[in-house]
Amino acid sequence: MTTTIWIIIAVLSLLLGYFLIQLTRDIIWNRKLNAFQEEAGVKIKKERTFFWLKRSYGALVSGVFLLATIFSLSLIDNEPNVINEKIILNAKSVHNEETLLRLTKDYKEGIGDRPWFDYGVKEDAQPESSLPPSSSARNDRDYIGTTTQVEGVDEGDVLKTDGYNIFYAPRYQNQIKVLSILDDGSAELTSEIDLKDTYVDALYLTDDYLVVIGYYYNYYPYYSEFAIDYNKPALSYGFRVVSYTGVISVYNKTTLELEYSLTTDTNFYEHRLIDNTLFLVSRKNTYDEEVRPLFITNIGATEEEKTYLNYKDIYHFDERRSYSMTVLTGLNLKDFTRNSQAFLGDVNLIYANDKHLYTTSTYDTFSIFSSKTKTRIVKYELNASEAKIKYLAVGSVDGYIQDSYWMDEYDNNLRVVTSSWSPVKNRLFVLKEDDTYDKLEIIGSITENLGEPGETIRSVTYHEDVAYVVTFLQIDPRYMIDLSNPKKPLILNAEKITGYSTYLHVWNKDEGSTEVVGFGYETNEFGMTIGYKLTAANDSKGISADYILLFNDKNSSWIHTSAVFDPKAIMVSPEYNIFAFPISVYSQGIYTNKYLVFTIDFNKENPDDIISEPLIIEQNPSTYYFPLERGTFIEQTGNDPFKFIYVFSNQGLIGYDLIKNEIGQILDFNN
Amino acid sequence: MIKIIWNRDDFNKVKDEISSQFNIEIIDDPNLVPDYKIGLLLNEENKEKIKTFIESLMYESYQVLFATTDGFVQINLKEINYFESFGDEIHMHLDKAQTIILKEPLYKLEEKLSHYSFTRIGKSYIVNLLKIRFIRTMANTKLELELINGQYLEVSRSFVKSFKNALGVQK
Repeated sequence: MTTTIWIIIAVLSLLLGYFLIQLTRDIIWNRKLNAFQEEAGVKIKKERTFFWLKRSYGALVSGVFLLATIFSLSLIDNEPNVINEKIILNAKSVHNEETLLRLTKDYKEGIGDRPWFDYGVKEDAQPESSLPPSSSARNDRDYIGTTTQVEGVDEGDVLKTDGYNIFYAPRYQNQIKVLSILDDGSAELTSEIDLKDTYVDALYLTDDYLVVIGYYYNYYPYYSEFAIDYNKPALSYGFRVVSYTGVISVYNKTTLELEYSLTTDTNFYEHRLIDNTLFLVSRKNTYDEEVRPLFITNIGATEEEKTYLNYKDIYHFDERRSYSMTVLTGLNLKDFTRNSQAFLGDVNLIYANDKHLYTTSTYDTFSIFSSKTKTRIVKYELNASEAKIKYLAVGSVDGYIQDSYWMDEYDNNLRVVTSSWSPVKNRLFVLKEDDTYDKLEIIGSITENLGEPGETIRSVTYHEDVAYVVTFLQIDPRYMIDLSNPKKPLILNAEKITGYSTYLHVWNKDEGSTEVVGFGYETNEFGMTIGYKLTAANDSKGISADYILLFNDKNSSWIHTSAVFDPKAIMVSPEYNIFAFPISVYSQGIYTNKYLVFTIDFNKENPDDIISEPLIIEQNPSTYYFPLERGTFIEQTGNDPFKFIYVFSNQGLIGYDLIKNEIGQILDFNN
Repeated sequence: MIKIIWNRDDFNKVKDEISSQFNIEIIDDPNLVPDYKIGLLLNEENKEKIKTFIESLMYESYQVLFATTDGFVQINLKEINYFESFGDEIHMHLDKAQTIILKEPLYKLEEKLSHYSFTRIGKSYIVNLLKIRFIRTMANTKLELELINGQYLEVSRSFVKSFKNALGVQK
């Protein structure tokens, strides 16, 4: 409820109280007057009804207004008071256009909390993961899939495989290469899907479908301010992007026919696939003339259906005004049923497991003397079988969350690491959903000694009741935190080595011993980054091994890899002992793109042998920059066994035969 | 039993009215009451009622002498609505919008009329309580009086207490 409405109710209540007191006093005075006059034997003709009507007019009017205000508020705000058998205190449906416009169009910057605009404008998620990626067996073929944060929750990527086909969307080429993997392990380019103006954000694969999540820009011309007729394009002097349009295209995996499409008036910002249900998180700006999110669906040959989200499905948090809304959509890829809801407020990052979704938004609160960075976290329940998302609770923590890997849910408790500037301070919080109300409450925290003074967080990973937090200023303390008692998180130790990891992967966890593989930067004693570093460590056993790629070595003047900020560029499988990523080497005007495949074996007696020398799959050098974007691994067992690693750039594919230990195939997409 | 001795002429004026309201026994035996008088006997239970009735008759007949600039004038109290001081002049407002200018100061009038249904309601006003139709309370603890002739007077804050006393609200 807004402050204005509270003020109106308070004023009306005061008026009603005043008029009632006055009326009571009038009654007392006039009764005494009547008694006095009767005692004196005088009877005065009085039109009492009219008099008392006039005297009670104020009380009546203010009472009616007060009741009307309360009644209309109860109509507006009484739903949904209970969701999931929980009393909802924070989220309320906007119900009508007027409320929605008030909470969006009237938004002014600088009033109230200020969201962080720059957060969440991201290509892909950042570092580290805790569990093995989705590696699944199908018949006699096995493969290493996309690196994901949570097992069983698939994340979209530009390359997807089911072991038999590989679907690859080269960046910014608006097409999908469809390759079939034959029984000898060779790849055959069978088809290309032309997406025209639609850029590919991510691909998903189900048993039946290829799902393409894309977007296209809406360009609008600038017109000269001196133009007389604004409709004359000749007077325009350029174009600007006003908005995105998000598109989901679902193709039959076998026939590659388009069977379903969903278009919205914003881009699909984040997404996860659980079983056969796609959960989509959109971020709609409310500057648009039509504030309600728009969905246009097209199933098969049916005519397109255009729908706006109902006002009752748009929620606000305690009248908090916002310039954007978070639109949540569950799309069942079996029958294409769709459920959507929207919540006013921004979304920067998401975390999802198979039961719950968390969205975060960072904002600054301002007081007279200081400002404070805080992050709102909203928890939703995911129902994959019905493709439904239900709001559960909201809470906030101090600091900002820079990466979705900084969050994790275990035993229904959300564990989250935050950082803040001025002064730099790192914290870990454990949040629990309240049983009765829609609140996320902090039940445990570490607010001190997480990082040396000035050290910021570089990567976080969780594995069950253990968290690893890497902070960095000049050296890399890797904190191991015991979360077995969520109410009393405990820092167990801090291993200090040079450099810092941006990606951590729990390789294996035995009783009392955890093997962790990290990838990130190597630094010198002054904290300056000098190269990339792969580390393998078991802190409990005191084992540590590393492999360093210096930025500048004898043969190269520059090395770059996207794996330090994009975990999906890393192919990782403890099952196959593989840790692989692409690098680009620039030397004397020539780019050489390589894919490094490391074997990691913690069973080696000599710690120096834990990380092997890398297998290098190298693309032909070029004067143009055509980086290797992704790699995948497919193994076939049985009569015709093969074991291949396929690496992709927008120029082509290289298939490396791991049995013959040689390049088995080079496929040029340009021929 | 209550015994009332009344002027025969006065009684005759209200004989019908009093007979219709009360069960009375009239005594006009010359051996018991003088010729110009008449005796009434009525039950004890009618005491309060007959008292009010008689007070009403008295009010109807009360007449007071007031000094004016032109001499004295005898006015029936039931005709007076209120007194108002206007500079050095005291205006006596009567029914039918009649006004008489008096020579007596307001405080003397207040004292003179204190036994009747008159009370001071401000520095410049004395009002006849039996001419008030309604009382309205106001925001600043003042009172507004609506008189039967449609005029409005204000009871200023410092006189509210004495007004209460006059009405018997507060002793």
